[in-house]
Amino acid sequence: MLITKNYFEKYTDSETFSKLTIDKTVPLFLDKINEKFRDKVAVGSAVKNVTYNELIKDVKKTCSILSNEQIPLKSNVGVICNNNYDFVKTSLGVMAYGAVATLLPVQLDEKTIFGCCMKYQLTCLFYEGAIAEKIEFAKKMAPNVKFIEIAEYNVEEASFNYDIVDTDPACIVLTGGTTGKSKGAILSHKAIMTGTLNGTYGIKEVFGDVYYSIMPLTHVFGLIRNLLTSLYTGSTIYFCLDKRTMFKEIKEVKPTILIVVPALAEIFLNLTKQFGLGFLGGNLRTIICGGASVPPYLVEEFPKFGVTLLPGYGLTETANLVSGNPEGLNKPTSVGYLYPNQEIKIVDGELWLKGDNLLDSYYNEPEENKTAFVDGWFKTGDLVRIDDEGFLYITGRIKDIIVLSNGENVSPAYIEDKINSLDVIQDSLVTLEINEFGAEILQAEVILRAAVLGPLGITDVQSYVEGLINEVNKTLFDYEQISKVVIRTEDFKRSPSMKIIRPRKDM
Amino acid sequence: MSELEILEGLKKIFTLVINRNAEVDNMKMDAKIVSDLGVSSVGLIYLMVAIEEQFGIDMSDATFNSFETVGDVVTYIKNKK
Repeated sequence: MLITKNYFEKYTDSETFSKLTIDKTVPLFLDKINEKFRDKVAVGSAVKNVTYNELIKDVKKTCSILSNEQIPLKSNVGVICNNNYDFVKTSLGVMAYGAVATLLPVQLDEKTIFGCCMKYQLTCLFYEGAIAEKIEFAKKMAPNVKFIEIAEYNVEEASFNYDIVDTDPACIVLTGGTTGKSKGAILSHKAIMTGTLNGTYGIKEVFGDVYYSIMPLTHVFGLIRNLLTSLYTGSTIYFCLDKRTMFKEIKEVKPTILIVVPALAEIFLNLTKQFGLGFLGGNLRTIICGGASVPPYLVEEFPKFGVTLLPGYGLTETANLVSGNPEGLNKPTSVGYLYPNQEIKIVDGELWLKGDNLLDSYYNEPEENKTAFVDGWFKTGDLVRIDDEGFLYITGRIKDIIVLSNGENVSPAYIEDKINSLDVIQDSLVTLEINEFGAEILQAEVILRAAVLGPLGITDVQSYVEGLINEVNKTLFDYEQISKVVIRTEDFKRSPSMKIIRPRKDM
Repeated sequence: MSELEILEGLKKIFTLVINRNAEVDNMKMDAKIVSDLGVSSVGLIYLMVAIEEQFGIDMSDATFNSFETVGDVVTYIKNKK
């Protein structure tokens, strides 16, 4: 079953919808936005506003540099740079030239940077002057790589490479998830352009937004849903240069749309409750929320301030969005309707995908590629169900399944999502424990949401919460019952992106 | 600004992130922010921002690891005003 775009037609007007067409390659995309939005501000900052036309000129200068250095087409060219205009003009330049932009997170240490030069067989590495020190080691150890410091180049503009076809590789985005070893997903021009377009569906007014980008550009959420969709829609994008000044900047920038993970959305919600919508600039209309499970509480609370929060789902390997909630349709626990040009299959509860937005393969990872693909289908590792209206629900991750001694499989994420649907629960973790009688039991550790609990005036909080969990138990199978509830007084251990770190199982 | 005034101001902010609301009204100077009040890592970030806004101070020379107790925060704010 191939998903088509007709479903999304009803969420906007016909004029807007008719403009949502695919550009096959990055050069064609850049030409189009240059023509449509020429003098509009593409990338804004306190220092300088860059128009679409100026951006295209700088991208062409990057192409020129690559040409002068005779960097082979289709070779991997690294980009290591903070979230800023330099990142934008460089990564687009590499892709429009016909090389493969290999996006390296700026936090990598010097040895890992060198390691990436080797692993991804980089012919060239563009780096930001601010981190020049970290590049010295790689410069010494990899003399065959061309190292170029990003700058304002004094060169002629080269033309884009119009021989590029949509199936050619455009970039490599690293994915490590929260389990460590990172893999490079090769995304074609077709894949990232499809991903870019996916972000425009299901929203009434999608052109001419103001984006304030907090997500890293080396992550598809930042690269595609923030940057590329912003450029596609003739919007202006500002980058958060320093998280410490984020809120001062937001007040000045006055974004109309924010793309964030749930943990950050929760902070924004609390600040808005405390200080009003003006705290986020006052113009905010939409929040796109993903990267982790979104508590329904956020979906329900933000509209009280006139802001729509729309959960979505996607992976690095799917060039970001696989599905998203359209405006005005209230399914707070769903990750939305599948975007067009994808085929799906559910095998033993697991979502398998084919489509224009899918990766080609992982770079130089023969074992990973063998296990991730079956007959051209990509196995997402996510457990899902689809309701009668075609809306998708994530019920767990295969890797996290708890196998009981009676052979039954329990998805902790499935139970946690049900528990997290309770407004009074901010977050939870379900684990397998052995009780004092030596029996296996499921335990739920929870963190309570003070803003909801407070007004209730409950004296015996433990009993109250246990009562709520008992109600959840009634919706679960026998072997999924939560037997013990622990109310945490301290937060869980979390990853840098604030996901709870699940304790490792010894298999 | 007196310490008591600062404490009252902090109570308003802490309401949204303390684990059990009963403790906001009785919030004492020696209450440990993370282990006694159960503030999560998400909550800590909110607190930093909200305190700057509420008290009109710049906290860029501190991180929340600098403060163990509510009293530590009160002293910091007092010195800044």
